[in-house]
Amino acid sequence: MSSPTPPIADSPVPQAGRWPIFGVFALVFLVFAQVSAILVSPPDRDMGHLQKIMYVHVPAAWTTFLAFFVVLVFSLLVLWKGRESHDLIAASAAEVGAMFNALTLALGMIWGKPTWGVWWTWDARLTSTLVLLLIFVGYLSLRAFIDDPDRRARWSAAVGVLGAINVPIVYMSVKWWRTLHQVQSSPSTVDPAYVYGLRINAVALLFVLIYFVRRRYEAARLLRAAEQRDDAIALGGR
Amino acid sequence: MAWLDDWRRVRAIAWKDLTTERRSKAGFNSVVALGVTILVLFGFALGPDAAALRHAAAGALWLAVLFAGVLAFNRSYQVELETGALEPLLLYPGARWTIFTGKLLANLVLVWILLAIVVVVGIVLFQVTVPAAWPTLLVVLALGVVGLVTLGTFYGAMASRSRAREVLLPLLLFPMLVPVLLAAMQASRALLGGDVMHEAGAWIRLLLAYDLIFLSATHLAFAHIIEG
Amino acid sequence: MESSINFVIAAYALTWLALVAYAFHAHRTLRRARDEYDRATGQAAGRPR
Repeated sequence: MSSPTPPIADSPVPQAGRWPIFGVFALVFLVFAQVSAILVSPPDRDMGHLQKIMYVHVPAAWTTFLAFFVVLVFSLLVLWKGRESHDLIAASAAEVGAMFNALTLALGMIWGKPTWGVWWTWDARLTSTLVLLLIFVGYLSLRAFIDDPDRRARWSAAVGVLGAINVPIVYMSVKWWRTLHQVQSSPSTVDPAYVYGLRINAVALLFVLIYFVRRRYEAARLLRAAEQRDDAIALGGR
Repeated sequence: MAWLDDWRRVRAIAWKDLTTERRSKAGFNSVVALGVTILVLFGFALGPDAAALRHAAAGALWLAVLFAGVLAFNRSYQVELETGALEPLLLYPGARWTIFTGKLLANLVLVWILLAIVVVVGIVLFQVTVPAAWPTLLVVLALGVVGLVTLGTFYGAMASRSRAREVLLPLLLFPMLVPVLLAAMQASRALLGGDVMHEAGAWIRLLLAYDLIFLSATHLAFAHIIEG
Repeated sequence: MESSINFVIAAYALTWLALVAYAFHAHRTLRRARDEYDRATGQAAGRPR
């Protein structure tokens, strides 16, 4: 039952390089995106200033789904190729994705309270986003409770793939649950200024996502390399 | 006849697990007792108004089976882990998924027995009138248990071999079971109420699709999680 | 309108709080990992602990 994975210590450890500069750039660009979106958009007739919450809420939701899509792709790669670096990328994306997921839910509540008068409603999107967060909290807990890195990689990859498969099913079933009892209203806002605000903020959060995942991956690789050095020394090698 | 060999292996593992359970009845009996106890507690939470009890009966039944079933899924691998019998089992020739299917079948039988007892007790305690469409209700109960047991057996294989298995299995399993539980609860409740809205059919189709998707996905993934 | 402004301010404040807090968490983890790596590789070079 030994692992077929080649030791990761043989490949060079990722360096910080220019990534700190990219991080500063990402945050500055986010400030620019938020300010420009707020300045360009006219106050919405029905919702007043509340529409401005959408410029952080909607891109945060997109970023969440993108992060979990990365988890799905790299989990499949782990099951297929068994490379440890893929596992560490998936884990980094899962942690950052969980943070964005929690933020999305909190922002949705802040928008929902003045708009609908309640912090929470059992709507399909809200409920499936919450279930998604619970699934990936389980994913991260599983990783915390397994010590063997090879086993951790394969098990969490399986959990990641099954969790991703489950998301559309949860969404569909909650939607049926709701629509069988009441009709959903779907307001559509297609103001070009609004679309611009959403898009530029989505790009800004995409940069932030890339930066966070990259730095978490760097830390994970360094830790693994250190562990493997220690193991090699303990076995009397090198 | 490769598939015949596979089937023989599946049957052998299922039979071994069921024999173990039959010889030491105390374990399974406690699981059933827990299921009934949870039902009684739900009665306190929701009663004593008869109409409210009847309305909530379907949800309470499924949650009682879920909470008691989690113990069965962890127990499913416990015997092998304690006696170190999992490694020899893996050394036998043949496909790895047969181990999973065997354990799945054994758990299916156990949870169906558990469900049958919990349903009978529930009908009495929650003052439920058995609907005319009871054969459809049996289909819902059977399909719901298949979904529950498929993921329970799969995640049990991981959780029971990790530290903190008591908390890890529910944490991984419950969010994954949201669609199957929702569909099973809604279909059962609709059928118990006479299905005046004709919504049970949609839920049964969802249950069936869910079962098929996760039966295939877990069988494909099991080979990756069992070795090592 | 006044109260709706408060919700907007809360939303943006929360976003920045979450991002800055996560950035701190990521950098702390990274610094620890680098220390750990330096210790392990220094050990490999044959230096006494």
